[in-house]
Amino acid sequence: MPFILYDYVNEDGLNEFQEWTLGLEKPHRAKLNERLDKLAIYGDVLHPEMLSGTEVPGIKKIRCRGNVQLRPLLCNGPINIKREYTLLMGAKEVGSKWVPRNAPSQADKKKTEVINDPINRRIEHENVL
Amino acid sequence: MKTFFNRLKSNFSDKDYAHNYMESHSVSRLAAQIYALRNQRGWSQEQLSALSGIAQERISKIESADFDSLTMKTLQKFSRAFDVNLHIAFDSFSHGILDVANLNREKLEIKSREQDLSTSFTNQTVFVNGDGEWKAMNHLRMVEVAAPRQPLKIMPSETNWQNLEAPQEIALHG
Repeated sequence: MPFILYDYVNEDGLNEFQEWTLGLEKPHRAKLNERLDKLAIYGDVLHPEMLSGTEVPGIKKIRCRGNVQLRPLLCNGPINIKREYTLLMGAKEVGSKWVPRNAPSQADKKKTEVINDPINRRIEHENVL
Repeated sequence: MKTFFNRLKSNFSDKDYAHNYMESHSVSRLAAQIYALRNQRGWSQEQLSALSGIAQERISKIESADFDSLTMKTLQKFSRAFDVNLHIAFDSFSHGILDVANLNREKLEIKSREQDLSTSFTNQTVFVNGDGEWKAMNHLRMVEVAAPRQPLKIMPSETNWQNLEAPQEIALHG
Protein backbone atom coordinates (compact mmCIF):
# COMPACT_ATOMS: atom_id res chain seq x y z
CA MET A 1 0.00 0.00 0.00
CA PRO A 2 1.45 3.41 -0.92
CA PHE A 3 0.20 5.07 2.29
CA ILE A 4 0.65 3.81 5.84
CA LEU A 5 -2.25 4.27 8.24
CA TYR A 6 -1.59 4.59 11.95
CA ASP A 7 -3.94 4.59 14.93
CA TYR A 8 -3.51 6.95 17.86
CA VAL A 9 -2.59 5.19 21.13
CA ASN A 10 -3.33 6.88 24.47
CA GLU A 11 -0.93 7.22 27.41
CA ASP A 12 -2.07 3.84 28.81
CA GLY A 13 -1.16 2.17 25.53
CA LEU A 14 -4.80 1.71 24.48
CA ASN A 15 -5.64 1.91 20.77
CA GLU A 16 -8.65 4.18 21.14
CA PHE A 17 -9.52 4.17 17.45
CA GLN A 18 -9.67 0.39 17.39
CA GLU A 19 -11.84 0.42 20.51
CA TRP A 20 -14.23 2.82 18.81
CA THR A 21 -14.31 0.66 15.69
CA LEU A 22 -15.10 -2.45 17.74
CA GLY A 23 -18.12 -0.66 19.14
CA LEU A 24 -19.62 -0.10 15.68
CA GLU A 25 -22.15 -2.38 14.04
CA LYS A 26 -20.78 -4.66 11.35
CA PRO A 27 -22.29 -2.78 8.36
CA HIS A 28 -20.64 0.42 9.60
CA ARG A 29 -17.30 -1.35 10.12
CA ALA A 30 -17.46 -2.70 6.57
CA LYS A 31 -18.11 0.76 5.13
CA LEU A 32 -15.43 2.31 7.29
CA ASN A 33 -12.92 -0.35 6.22
CA GLU A 34 -13.68 0.34 2.56
CA ARG A 35 -12.88 4.03 3.04
CA LEU A 36 -9.71 3.26 4.98
CA ASP A 37 -8.54 0.78 2.34
CA LYS A 38 -9.05 3.43 -0.35
CA LEU A 39 -7.12 5.93 1.74
CA ALA A 40 -4.22 3.48 2.11
CA ILE A 41 -4.20 2.67 -1.63
CA TYR A 42 -4.90 6.07 -3.19
CA GLY A 43 -4.63 8.73 -0.51
CA ASP A 44 -7.01 11.53 -1.47
CA VAL A 45 -6.03 11.62 -5.15
CA LEU A 46 -9.11 10.02 -6.68
CA HIS A 47 -11.71 12.05 -4.89
CA PRO A 48 -10.20 14.73 -2.70
CA GLU A 49 -13.56 15.63 -1.22
CA MET A 50 -13.81 12.27 0.54
CA LEU A 51 -11.39 13.78 3.05
CA SER A 52 -12.83 17.07 4.22
CA GLY A 53 -11.38 19.67 6.49
CA THR A 54 -12.91 20.50 9.87
CA GLU A 55 -13.03 23.74 11.82
CA VAL A 56 -9.59 22.84 13.23
CA PRO A 57 -6.78 23.30 10.68
CA GLY A 58 -4.89 20.10 9.97
CA ILE A 59 -7.68 17.85 11.27
CA LYS A 60 -9.66 16.09 8.58
CA LYS A 61 -12.74 13.91 8.57
CA ILE A 62 -13.64 10.95 6.42
CA ARG A 63 -17.23 10.91 5.28
CA CYS A 64 -18.71 7.49 5.87
CA ARG A 65 -22.43 7.42 5.43
CA GLY A 66 -25.09 5.09 6.71
CA ASN A 67 -27.95 5.51 9.14
CA VAL A 68 -25.22 7.01 11.36
CA GLN A 69 -22.87 9.65 9.95
CA LEU A 70 -19.49 8.28 10.93
CA ARG A 71 -16.75 10.89 10.80
CA PRO A 72 -13.43 9.38 11.84
CA LEU A 73 -10.93 12.17 12.42
CA LEU A 74 -7.37 12.00 11.15
CA CYS A 75 -4.40 14.02 10.03
CA ASN A 76 -1.76 13.76 7.33
CA GLY A 77 1.46 12.43 8.78
CA PRO A 78 2.05 13.94 11.25
CA ILE A 79 5.63 12.66 10.90
CA ASN A 80 5.79 11.99 7.15
CA ILE A 81 2.96 14.03 5.68
CA LYS A 82 3.34 12.61 2.17
CA ARG A 83 3.21 8.92 3.07
CA GLU A 84 1.17 8.58 6.24
CA TYR A 85 -2.18 9.25 7.81
CA THR A 86 -2.88 8.90 11.53
CA LEU A 87 -6.40 8.03 12.66
CA LEU A 88 -6.83 10.13 15.76
CA MET A 89 -10.31 9.33 17.01
CA GLY A 90 -13.74 8.11 16.05
CA ALA A 91 -16.57 10.59 15.91
CA LYS A 92 -20.04 11.07 14.47
CA GLU A 93 -21.97 14.01 13.14
CA VAL A 94 -25.56 14.29 14.26
CA GLY A 95 -27.27 17.11 12.43
CA SER A 96 -24.33 19.43 12.13
CA LYS A 97 -23.06 18.73 15.65
CA TRP A 98 -20.11 16.62 16.67
CA VAL A 99 -20.43 13.58 18.91
CA PRO A 100 -18.37 13.77 21.08
CA ARG A 101 -18.54 17.54 21.38
CA ASN A 102 -15.50 19.45 20.14
CA ALA A 103 -14.21 16.27 18.52
CA PRO A 104 -11.86 18.11 16.10
CA SER A 105 -10.22 19.98 19.01
CA GLN A 106 -9.79 16.71 20.91
CA ALA A 107 -8.28 15.16 17.79
CA ASP A 108 -5.87 18.07 17.52
CA LYS A 109 -4.57 17.40 21.06
CA LYS A 110 -4.03 13.76 20.18
CA LYS A 111 -2.15 14.83 17.09
CA THR A 112 0.22 16.89 19.28
CA GLU A 113 0.77 13.86 21.51
CA VAL A 114 1.70 11.79 18.46
CA ILE A 115 4.10 14.46 17.22
CA ASN A 116 5.80 14.56 20.65
CA ASP A 117 6.17 10.78 20.95
CA PRO A 118 5.48 9.04 17.63
CA ILE A 119 7.03 5.73 18.71
CA ASN A 120 4.74 5.16 21.67
CA ARG A 121 1.67 7.15 20.77
CA ARG A 122 0.68 5.50 17.54
CA ILE A 123 0.59 2.02 16.09
CA GLU A 124 0.14 0.74 12.54
CA HIS A 125 -3.56 0.47 11.78
CA GLU A 126 -5.06 -2.97 11.98
CA ASN A 127 -8.28 -3.63 10.14
CA VAL A 128 -11.14 -4.80 12.35
CA LEU A 129 -13.68 -7.16 10.77
CA MET B 1 -1.20 -5.79 -1.67
CA LYS B 2 -1.31 -9.58 -1.47
CA THR B 3 -2.30 -9.23 2.18
CA PHE B 4 -5.05 -6.86 1.11
CA PHE B 5 -6.52 -9.36 -1.37
CA ASN B 6 -6.29 -12.23 1.11
CA ARG B 7 -7.89 -10.14 3.82
CA LEU B 8 -10.83 -9.13 1.63
CA LYS B 9 -11.26 -12.69 0.38
CA SER B 10 -11.40 -13.88 3.96
CA ASN B 11 -13.64 -11.04 5.18
CA PHE B 12 -16.03 -11.55 2.29
CA SER B 13 -16.96 -15.00 3.56
CA ASP B 14 -19.38 -12.93 5.64
CA LYS B 15 -22.18 -12.03 3.23
CA ASP B 16 -23.41 -8.98 5.11
CA TYR B 17 -19.90 -7.57 5.46
CA ALA B 18 -19.12 -8.21 1.77
CA HIS B 19 -22.24 -6.41 0.57
CA ASN B 20 -21.77 -3.43 2.85
CA TYR B 21 -18.11 -3.08 1.84
CA MET B 22 -18.88 -3.25 -1.89
CA GLU B 23 -21.89 -0.93 -1.57
CA SER B 24 -19.53 1.60 -0.05
CA HIS B 25 -17.07 0.95 -2.87
CA SER B 26 -19.80 1.60 -5.48
CA VAL B 27 -20.58 4.91 -3.83
CA SER B 28 -16.96 6.05 -3.62
CA ARG B 29 -16.18 4.80 -7.13
CA LEU B 30 -19.10 6.76 -8.54
CA ALA B 31 -18.02 9.82 -6.55
CA ALA B 32 -14.49 9.51 -7.90
CA GLN B 33 -15.71 9.08 -11.47
CA ILE B 34 -18.04 12.08 -11.39
CA TYR B 35 -15.16 14.13 -9.99
CA ALA B 36 -12.80 12.76 -12.69
CA LEU B 37 -15.26 13.39 -15.55
CA ARG B 38 -15.97 16.92 -14.38
CA ASN B 39 -12.26 17.71 -14.10
CA GLN B 40 -11.51 16.07 -17.43
CA ARG B 41 -13.90 18.57 -19.00
CA GLY B 42 -12.59 21.48 -16.94
CA TRP B 43 -16.02 22.20 -15.47
CA SER B 44 -16.86 23.66 -12.09
CA GLN B 45 -19.61 22.08 -9.99
CA GLU B 46 -21.80 25.05 -10.95
CA GLN B 47 -21.28 24.35 -14.65
CA LEU B 48 -22.10 20.68 -14.17
CA SER B 49 -25.16 21.72 -12.22
CA ALA B 50 -26.33 23.95 -15.08
CA LEU B 51 -25.76 21.20 -17.63
CA SER B 52 -27.29 18.36 -15.63
CA GLY B 53 -30.07 20.10 -13.75
CA ILE B 54 -28.71 18.62 -10.50
CA ALA B 55 -28.24 21.13 -7.68
CA GLN B 56 -24.60 22.13 -7.01
CA GLU B 57 -24.99 21.22 -3.31
CA ARG B 58 -26.11 17.76 -4.34
CA ILE B 59 -23.15 17.40 -6.71
CA SER B 60 -20.82 18.40 -3.88
CA LYS B 61 -22.31 15.72 -1.63
CA ILE B 62 -22.09 13.12 -4.38
CA GLU B 63 -18.45 13.93 -5.15
CA SER B 64 -17.56 13.59 -1.48
CA ALA B 65 -19.22 10.14 -1.46
CA ASP B 66 -21.63 11.45 1.13
CA PHE B 67 -24.78 9.73 -0.10
CA ASP B 68 -26.55 6.42 0.28
CA SER B 69 -28.44 6.16 -2.95
CA LEU B 70 -28.88 7.75 -6.35
CA THR B 71 -31.87 7.24 -8.58
CA MET B 72 -31.48 5.95 -12.12
CA LYS B 73 -32.88 9.28 -13.25
CA THR B 74 -30.03 11.19 -11.56
CA LEU B 75 -27.44 8.87 -13.10
CA GLN B 76 -29.02 9.43 -16.51
CA LYS B 77 -28.80 13.20 -15.97
CA PHE B 78 -25.06 12.85 -15.31
CA SER B 79 -24.73 10.56 -18.33
CA ARG B 80 -26.34 13.17 -20.60
CA ALA B 81 -24.37 16.07 -19.15
CA PHE B 82 -21.05 14.25 -19.63
CA ASP B 83 -22.33 12.76 -22.90
CA VAL B 84 -21.14 9.27 -21.97
CA ASN B 85 -22.80 5.88 -21.92
CA LEU B 86 -24.29 4.80 -18.59
CA HIS B 87 -23.37 1.18 -17.97
CA ILE B 88 -24.93 -0.58 -15.00
CA ALA B 89 -24.27 -4.26 -14.47
CA PHE B 90 -23.94 -6.94 -11.81
CA ASP B 91 -20.52 -8.42 -11.26
CA SER B 92 -18.68 -11.05 -9.23
CA PHE B 93 -17.09 -10.20 -5.89
CA SER B 94 -13.66 -11.22 -7.14
CA HIS B 95 -13.93 -8.63 -9.93
CA GLY B 96 -15.13 -6.16 -7.33
CA ILE B 97 -12.06 -6.74 -5.16
CA LEU B 98 -9.79 -6.20 -8.16
CA ASP B 99 -11.69 -3.02 -9.02
CA VAL B 100 -11.09 -1.64 -5.52
CA ALA B 101 -7.36 -2.04 -6.06
CA ASN B 102 -7.14 -1.01 -9.71
CA LEU B 103 -8.77 2.39 -9.87
CA ASN B 104 -6.91 5.23 -11.51
CA ARG B 105 -7.73 8.54 -13.11
CA GLU B 106 -7.33 7.23 -16.68
CA LYS B 107 -9.76 4.43 -15.99
CA LEU B 108 -12.35 6.83 -14.63
CA GLU B 109 -12.10 9.39 -17.42
CA ILE B 110 -14.32 8.76 -20.46
CA LYS B 111 -14.32 10.62 -23.75
CA SER B 112 -17.55 12.33 -24.68
CA ARG B 113 -19.68 10.71 -27.38
CA GLU B 114 -18.42 12.80 -30.31
CA GLN B 115 -14.75 12.52 -29.35
CA ASP B 116 -15.14 8.81 -28.77
CA LEU B 117 -16.98 8.00 -31.99
CA SER B 118 -14.70 10.15 -34.13
CA THR B 119 -11.78 7.86 -33.32
CA SER B 120 -13.37 4.53 -32.41
CA PHE B 121 -13.77 1.91 -35.12
CA THR B 122 -12.11 4.16 -37.75
CA ASN B 123 -8.58 3.52 -36.43
CA GLN B 124 -9.50 0.09 -35.19
CA THR B 125 -10.23 -3.29 -36.61
CA VAL B 126 -13.43 -4.91 -35.42
CA PHE B 127 -13.30 -8.68 -35.37
CA VAL B 128 -14.81 -11.72 -33.75
CA ASN B 129 -12.47 -13.74 -31.56
CA GLY B 130 -12.51 -17.51 -31.10
CA ASP B 131 -15.22 -17.28 -28.44
CA GLY B 132 -17.55 -15.47 -30.83
CA GLU B 133 -17.04 -12.19 -28.97
CA TRP B 134 -16.80 -8.90 -30.89
CA LYS B 135 -13.60 -6.96 -30.23
CA ALA B 136 -12.15 -3.68 -31.49
CA MET B 137 -8.37 -3.38 -31.58
CA ASN B 138 -5.95 -0.70 -32.75
CA HIS B 139 -4.29 -1.52 -36.09
CA LEU B 140 -0.79 -1.44 -34.68
CA ARG B 141 -1.61 -4.05 -32.10
CA MET B 142 -2.73 -6.50 -34.79
CA VAL B 143 0.67 -8.04 -35.28
CA GLU B 144 1.40 -11.44 -36.67
CA VAL B 145 4.92 -12.84 -36.63
CA ALA B 146 5.46 -14.74 -39.87
CA ALA B 147 7.62 -17.83 -40.12
CA PRO B 148 11.21 -17.04 -41.23
CA ARG B 149 12.31 -17.98 -44.77
CA GLN B 150 15.53 -19.53 -43.48
CA PRO B 151 16.60 -21.08 -40.14
CA LEU B 152 17.56 -18.48 -37.54
CA LYS B 153 20.91 -18.53 -35.80
CA ILE B 154 20.83 -17.83 -32.08
CA MET B 155 23.62 -15.55 -30.79
CA PRO B 156 24.86 -17.17 -27.54
CA SER B 157 27.01 -14.16 -26.58
CA GLU B 158 23.95 -12.14 -25.60
CA THR B 159 23.07 -13.00 -22.04
CA ASN B 160 19.78 -11.23 -21.44
CA TRP B 161 18.32 -10.98 -24.91
CA GLN B 162 19.09 -13.25 -27.82
CA ASN B 163 19.46 -11.49 -31.16
CA LEU B 164 18.47 -13.33 -34.27
CA GLU B 165 20.65 -12.99 -37.34
CA ALA B 166 17.84 -12.85 -39.81
CA PRO B 167 15.39 -9.97 -39.38
CA GLN B 168 12.05 -10.92 -37.93
CA GLU B 169 9.30 -10.69 -40.40
CA ILE B 170 6.28 -8.94 -39.17
CA ALA B 171 3.05 -8.56 -41.03
CA LEU B 172 0.77 -5.71 -40.09
CA HIS B 173 -2.88 -6.12 -40.74
CA GLY B 174 -4.95 -3.02 -41.11
